[in-house]
Amino acid sequence: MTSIEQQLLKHIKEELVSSFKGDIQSDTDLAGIIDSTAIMELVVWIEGTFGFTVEIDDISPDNFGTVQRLDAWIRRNLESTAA
Amino acid sequence: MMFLADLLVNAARRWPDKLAAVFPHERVTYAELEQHSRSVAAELNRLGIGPGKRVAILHDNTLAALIYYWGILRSGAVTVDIPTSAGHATIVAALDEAQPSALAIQPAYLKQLAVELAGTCQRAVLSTANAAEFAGPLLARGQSFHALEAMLERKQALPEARAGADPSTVAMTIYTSGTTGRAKGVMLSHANLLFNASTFNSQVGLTNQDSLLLVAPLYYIHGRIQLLTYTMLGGTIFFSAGFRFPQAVLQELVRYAPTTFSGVPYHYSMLLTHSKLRSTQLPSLRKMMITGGALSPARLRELQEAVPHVALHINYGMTESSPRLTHLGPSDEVFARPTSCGRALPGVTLEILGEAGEPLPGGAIGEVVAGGPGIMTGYVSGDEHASGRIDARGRLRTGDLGYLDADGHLFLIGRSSEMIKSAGERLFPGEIEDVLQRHPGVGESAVFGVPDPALGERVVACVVPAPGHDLTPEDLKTHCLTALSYVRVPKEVHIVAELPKTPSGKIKRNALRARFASPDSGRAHEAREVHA
Repeated sequence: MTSIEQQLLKHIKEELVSSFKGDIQSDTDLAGIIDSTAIMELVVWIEGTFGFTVEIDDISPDNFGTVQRLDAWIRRNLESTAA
Repeated sequence: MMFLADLLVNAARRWPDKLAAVFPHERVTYAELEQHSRSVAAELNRLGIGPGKRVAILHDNTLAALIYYWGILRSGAVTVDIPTSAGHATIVAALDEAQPSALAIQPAYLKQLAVELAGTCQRAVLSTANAAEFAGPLLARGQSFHALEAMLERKQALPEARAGADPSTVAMTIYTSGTTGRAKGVMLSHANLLFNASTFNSQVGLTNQDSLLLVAPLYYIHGRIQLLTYTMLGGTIFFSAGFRFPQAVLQELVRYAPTTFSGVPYHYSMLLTHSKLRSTQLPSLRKMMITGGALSPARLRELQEAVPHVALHINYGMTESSPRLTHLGPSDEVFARPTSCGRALPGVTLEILGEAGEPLPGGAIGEVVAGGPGIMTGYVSGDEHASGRIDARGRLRTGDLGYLDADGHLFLIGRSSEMIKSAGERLFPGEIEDVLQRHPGVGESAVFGVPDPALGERVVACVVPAPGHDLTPEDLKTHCLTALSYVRVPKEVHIVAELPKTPSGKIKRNALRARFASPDSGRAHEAREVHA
């Protein structure tokens, strides 16, 4: 597990998800677990933590479906910012 | 005599091959839906479940949920909608109260809830085959498990007419947030809902050529009345994957090209601020319905500028009135009185009452009270009169404050109840305070809503620590997440020395609301506003 995945899992479990929804792993489908208001909070947290601006088109089920997909998308953004 | 299930039977007879419902990965015609619902109804009847019995539905918007809904109605039983967005304690309490004979449940919820549900009263659990592995705790208590797939294989006939059936009997029960912190089961009759669907449509003028992108959950009246209206018309409903991704909802509007859309203010705010609505062409879209609260005049104008060819329609109502009471539209009517929610629908009476229950003249502000054929038959708990919700004359006390102008246009100016409307959900302080009070460090707590540009209102809590306890807002938010869904978790928690109270000891929520309504750094939603 990458450190970004660990950070995401910690933040999501502690701040955004009701514990009665069950344990969340990197490959857990986040549909039905993270609601629309929590997604917007997550976007703000990602911008603040990783230092890039999130585009509207990127707030999608493809990128936000699981922690693994979030991790891959965040790493792509960090690479393009660094390039 | 007409019953809700007749809407589907008629649609299947007249438009058998027309698509009734389109989901992201599935679709069904009216003929198929009619046949599937008959199979479910036959299975329920075989289990001894029919008229006079309740069958609960705990489902997000799925094809299985749609089939079960119509199947339950066709069996003669009453549907009981339980919001999946409620916390587990609320769900279990609602099932305990409703005592359903069977429960139609989505596999994911059976997985989460099997142990708690084993203590409730169901004889039979209805799900899909992939849920069988989660049913162990229920089977151990003698309840039976039935998979939809097996039911649909057994195509069975169903008696067409039900001798002695009465359209004024209860067809559906919908659980909605209640003032006490417990959800209230609102019982609506066939006649209530058929009146509402046909009367509202007489004002809005939808036809068989219309279609809808549905974003509301079917377990709320907003979703159910859309389903009934479009089934009555033989129109197609496109089921959105949900409002978690506003830009994805906009892409659904492009891909499905529905002629109508219905949303609450939160949905429109999100489309305007978190999608590229303004720069996207939606040539098929003809009408947008705004319900469940008011968009500000500025937001209404923004919306109309974003979709200049679309007619806007506003309505006001509540679950207890099946739901719609008023209508305002199309756009020229809306912009003539942008702060009104319209005039009473034909057959609906609106009155404004003073504090002593006396009728007030035009222009005077008081409680909005409604009458007409859509008013609920009662609550499952039986306290619709004792709670003051239904008065001695059978009128519905809405708990909303407003006035009527000389033309009968209703203007709402606030609520006499403590309801908080946040992100399209209706919440009451009691359910959140109950959870806060379970924290050992909490002495007293008060929960209220303050205006929020994106959420409508956001939930704020003020907490007085118990003697000898140190509390942090973070601790309390984490604690709330153990029992509440995220939308109900206070977005701000203030630790205070005392709560303002009236001489009789009642918490002055208005004083707290005024104190904490000022702009604040915690408004992540506002900070994210983007004009695309």
